[in-house]
Amino acid sequence: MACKDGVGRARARCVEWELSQRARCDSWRTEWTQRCEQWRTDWTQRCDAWHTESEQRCDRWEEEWSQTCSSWGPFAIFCLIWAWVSTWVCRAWSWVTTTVCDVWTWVSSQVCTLWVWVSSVVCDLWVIVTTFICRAWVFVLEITCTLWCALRRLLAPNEVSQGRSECIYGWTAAYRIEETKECTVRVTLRIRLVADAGVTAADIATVQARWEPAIEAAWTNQFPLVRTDGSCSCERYRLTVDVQFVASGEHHAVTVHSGSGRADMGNWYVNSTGGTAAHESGHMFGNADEYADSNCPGRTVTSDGSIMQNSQTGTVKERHYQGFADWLSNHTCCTYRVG
Amino acid sequence: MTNPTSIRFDASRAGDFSLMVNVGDRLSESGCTQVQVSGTGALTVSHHGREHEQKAQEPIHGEFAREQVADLFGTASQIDWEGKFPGRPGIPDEAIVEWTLRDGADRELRRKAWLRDVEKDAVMSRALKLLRAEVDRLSQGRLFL
Repeated sequence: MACKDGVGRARARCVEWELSQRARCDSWRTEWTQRCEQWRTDWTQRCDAWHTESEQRCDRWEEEWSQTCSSWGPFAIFCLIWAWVSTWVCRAWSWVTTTVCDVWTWVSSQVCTLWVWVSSVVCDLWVIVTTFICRAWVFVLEITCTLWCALRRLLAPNEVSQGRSECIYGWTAAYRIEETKECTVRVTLRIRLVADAGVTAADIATVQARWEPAIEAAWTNQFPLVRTDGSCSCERYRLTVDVQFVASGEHHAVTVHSGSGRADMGNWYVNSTGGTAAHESGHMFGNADEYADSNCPGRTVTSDGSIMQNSQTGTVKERHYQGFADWLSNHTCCTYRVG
Repeated sequence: MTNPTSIRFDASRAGDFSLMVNVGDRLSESGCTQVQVSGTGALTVSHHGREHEQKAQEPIHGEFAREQVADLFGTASQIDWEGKFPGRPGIPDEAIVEWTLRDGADRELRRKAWLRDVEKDAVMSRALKLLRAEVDRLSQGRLFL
């Protein structure tokens, strides 16, 4: 997974988390506010009902005793006193119980409201703290990613010089590689040709005219470098190879011998073909030989028409671009593959 | 067969001496070119390689002049036969040169060296130069060491 994408995804997850938790808090607050409101309304109604009912009971009591007292004759005054006192007690009881009910309603509603406030504050704090932790984690990830990408970029300098070894052979792959704005990876191979005895300036001019186009044609734009992970702007890159024969500042020095002979990476012959030059350039880009060698029984020998197996008829294969794809992945901090 | 540390060429019994040089590998792209020279000057050049697997290549025969033979074997006897190989990693595609100098049937010296080291070595390069000139002449530039 590309590092930058991971950070982006983590950041989005934090935002998502914050929004979802805030929504939960809001929902909790609304739900409990409604419950408290309902509680208050229910108890207000109950208290009102109790008050009405108890007042009616007292009224009935008073009325019943008023009627009863009329039959008491000369003792009616005692009865009326009793009716008045008992009714007064009844009304007092009604008032006290209604008041207790109202107080209960008020207190319990206040407790409920307080609970809503406290739980909402706790919920909001939870959201703030967890979001902070999440963002802090994203920050750490971002720093780590930045450092990781910087480190990868360090591993992808424009001037490549890497030691290679295979079997009993060892060499240094060296070339310049850079990313251009047009989604192109440009590889420059600077070669200094050293004329051996008997090789003239005209010979050098002739071989340059033969080898340069052959190398460039063999290696340029054989496969695209395709993005498989990350959000870098270029989805695919084309690769160009530019061979420059220089007098100094070379990546490789090649001695040019007269006539024909056994060419190797550092020794070419005036009669060496463009295929030979393209094959040897493959070594300069870091690729190993793929033909059988009695001295290298463990060598990976290919048979798919590779230029590293047969310099004259072979072509560049996807695996020969792997070094360029690896460089691009390190350079951009996205992942690129060949083909 | 004994393993002496040096063999001195003796013209009086030239027929006992032989020098064989293999350059390259028969499995490799350029194949292997082999030169065998007897102390009397008879020379055989043969090539074994992938491109020749389909049709067998006939060995080429030639003859060294007497003074050239003495020069060649005199030079070959001065090779540092105890030199280590590989003293360094090879350059990709660099050929290996294998020298074999025999005196009779029981004395033999062998030495392997990278081609570019041979070309830089004063003794081996001289022997190689003599052989290259003859191979080039006999094969009309078709074969090379």
